[in-house]
Amino acid sequence: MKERNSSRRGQWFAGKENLGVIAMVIVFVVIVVSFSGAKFFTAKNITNLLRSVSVVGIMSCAVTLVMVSGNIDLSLGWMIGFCAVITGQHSGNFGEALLFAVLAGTACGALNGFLVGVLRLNAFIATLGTMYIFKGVTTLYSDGRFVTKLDPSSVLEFVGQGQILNIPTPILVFLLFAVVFWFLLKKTSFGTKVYAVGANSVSAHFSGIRCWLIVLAVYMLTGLATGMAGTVLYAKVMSVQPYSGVGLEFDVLTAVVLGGTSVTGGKGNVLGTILGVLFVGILSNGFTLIGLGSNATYITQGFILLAAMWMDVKSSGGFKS
Amino acid sequence: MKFAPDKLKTNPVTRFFRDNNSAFILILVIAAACISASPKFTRVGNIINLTQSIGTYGILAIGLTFIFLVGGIDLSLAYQVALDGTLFVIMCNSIGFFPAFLITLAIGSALGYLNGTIITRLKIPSLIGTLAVMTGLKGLVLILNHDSGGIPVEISLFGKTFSKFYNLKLFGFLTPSHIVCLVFLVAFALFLRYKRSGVNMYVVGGNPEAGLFSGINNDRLTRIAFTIGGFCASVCSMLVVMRMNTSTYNMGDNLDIIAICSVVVGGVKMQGGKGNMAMCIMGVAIIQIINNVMTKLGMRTAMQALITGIVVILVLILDKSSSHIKNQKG
Repeated sequence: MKERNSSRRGQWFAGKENLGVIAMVIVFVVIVVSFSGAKFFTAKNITNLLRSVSVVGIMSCAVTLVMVSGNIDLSLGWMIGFCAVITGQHSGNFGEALLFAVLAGTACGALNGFLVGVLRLNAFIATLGTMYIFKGVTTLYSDGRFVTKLDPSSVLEFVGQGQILNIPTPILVFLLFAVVFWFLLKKTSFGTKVYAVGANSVSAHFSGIRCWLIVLAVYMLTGLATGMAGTVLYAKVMSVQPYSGVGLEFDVLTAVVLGGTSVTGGKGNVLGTILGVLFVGILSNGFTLIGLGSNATYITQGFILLAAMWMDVKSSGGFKS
Repeated sequence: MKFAPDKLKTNPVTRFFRDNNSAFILILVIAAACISASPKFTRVGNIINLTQSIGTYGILAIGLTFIFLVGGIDLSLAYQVALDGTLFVIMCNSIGFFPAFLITLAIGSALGYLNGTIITRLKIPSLIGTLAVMTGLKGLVLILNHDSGGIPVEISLFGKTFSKFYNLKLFGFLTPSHIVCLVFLVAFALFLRYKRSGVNMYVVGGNPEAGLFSGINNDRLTRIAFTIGGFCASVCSMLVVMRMNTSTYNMGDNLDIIAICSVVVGGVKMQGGKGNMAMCIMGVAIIQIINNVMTKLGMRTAMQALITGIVVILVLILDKSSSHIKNQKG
C-alpha cells in the first residue's frame, strides 16, 4: 500500500513509478526530432500518431484495472475481432452496431470474469482458453470472411473517420475512456478496492471486500472497452478481418507494463498506461519518419521494455516474489 | 510434498496412476469416444500421423514443462521456434545440414539461456521478460524472412527431401519425430527423478524460500530450465521445418499456446512445483487426439478452436486446486 500513498502525493503524474517511462518518452522524442527535423512536430503527424494508437489505447486503459487487480487478459485479440465483426454486421445502424458490439464485449468479459473471479481459475490459462472460444465463435459467426457493408451508417463513419475541432474522433473516444477509467481507479471506492484486491486478496477479503465481484467487474469493464474499441477498429476503415485483432493483446500488455503497472497487482495507474501507449506510438511513428521499417521497431521495443522494467525494479528495490 | 520418502518407495506403476489419474482417465474416455465416433480414427496411417504430431508438439511441451516446474512462463517460444527454424534453413542452404543442425541447437539453447538470465539477473517477472524477448525476436524473424515471405529449403538429406525425411518410417512406424520425442521423454524423466538438479527444480517452483534456505541456487536452476526450454524449441523448429520444407515468419504461431494448453490439461501446474514428463505427454496427446478426430469428422477449424477452448476451461474447472494468479507470481 506504500506505493499507493506515494502515488496519491504525486497527484498528476503519479509519482516516481512513471519517471522511467516519462524520461524515455522525452529522450526518444529528442532522438526522433534530431534525426527527422521538424516533421515530427507537425499537427498532421501528431494526429496520425494518436489516431493509430487509439484502439490499443482504449483497451489499455481498461486492462490497467485488470492488471492492478492482479490478473491478466490474453483473450483480447479475438474478443476485439468478435466485437468488430458484430459492428460490421450491423453497420447500417449506428445505435444497433454500438449496442450489440458493447453487449458482446461485456458478455465476453463477464465470461472471463466469471471464470477468474467466481470460479477462481488461473487467469493466464483461463483467458487463453476463452481466447480459443472467442476465436471459434468469431470465425463461425463471420464464416471466416472479411466483413464490410456497402451503405454504412454515417454516424459510424464519423466515429471512425470524422473530426471534431480538427481532432479525429477515435482520439476523443480514447481520451473519454482514459478519463473515465482514471476517475474510476483513482477517485472512487471501487478503484481503491481494485488496488486492495491486487495488493493482497486475502486481507481484502477479511476487510469485507467481495473479491469475486471486483474481479468480475474489472473484466466486464474490459469487455465493454473492447466492444467500443472494436467499433472504432471497424469504423476506421469500414471493413474488418475476423483475425485483425490477433496479437493486439501483447501490444496492450506492453503499453500497460511500460506505464508502470505491476503484473503481480496492486500497483499501477491509468496515466502511466497512457504514457505507455503514447510511447509505443511515438516509437513506431518515429521509426517510420527516420526511415527504419516496422521490424526494427519490434526489436527496439523489446529492448525498451526490458530497460523500463529494469529501471522499475531498480527504483522499487526488486519485485516481491 | 512431492518428494516425501514414502512416495519414493511405491512402485512406478502405482505411482503413475496416483499422480496422473485425472489426465489418464480423460485420455481413455476421449480415445474411446473417438474410436466410436469415427472409424477412420483407428487406421494405422492415422495413428502414425497422430503420434507424429504428438511427437513434434510434445518436444516443445517438454521444454515448457521445465519452465512451468520452476514457476516461470515463456511467451517467446513461438518466435524462438520461428527464429531457430529460419536460421536453420538459411544455414542449411549455405553450410549444409550437420553444421546447421548443431549451430541451431546452440542458438536455441542460447536464446533460452538469455531468457533465464534476463529473468534472474535483472529480477524481472518471466511474463514481462519473455514478452520483451518475444517482441525483439518478432522483429528479427520478420527481417530474416523478408517481411512475410519465407525461405525454401534447397538441400536434401541422404538423397531425400526434408519432408520425405520427416515421414521416413523405421520398422514401418517409427518416424524421426517419434524417436526424438521418445528419447527426450525418457532422458528428461530420468533427469527429473534421479539428478539432483532435476529434483531440486520442484523445490524452486514449489517453495523458493525453502530452496534458498536449504542451499539450492534457485537462479541457476531457473536458467537451466529456460535453457532446456530453448533447446527443445530449437529441436521442435527443425522438425517443423522438415515437415514444411520451408521457413515462414509465422511458423511458430499458435505452437506455444497449444503447448501451454496441452501441458496444463495434462496436470502440470503453472505456479510451479508440480508436473512430470508423463503428465506433459498425456496432455499433448489429449489435445492432439481431439484435434485429429475433429478433423477426421470433417469439423471446421472454427468449431475445433471452440471445442479446444472449452476442453481447456473444463479441465481447469475440474482441477479445483488451481488457484488465483496471486499465488503464482513471477
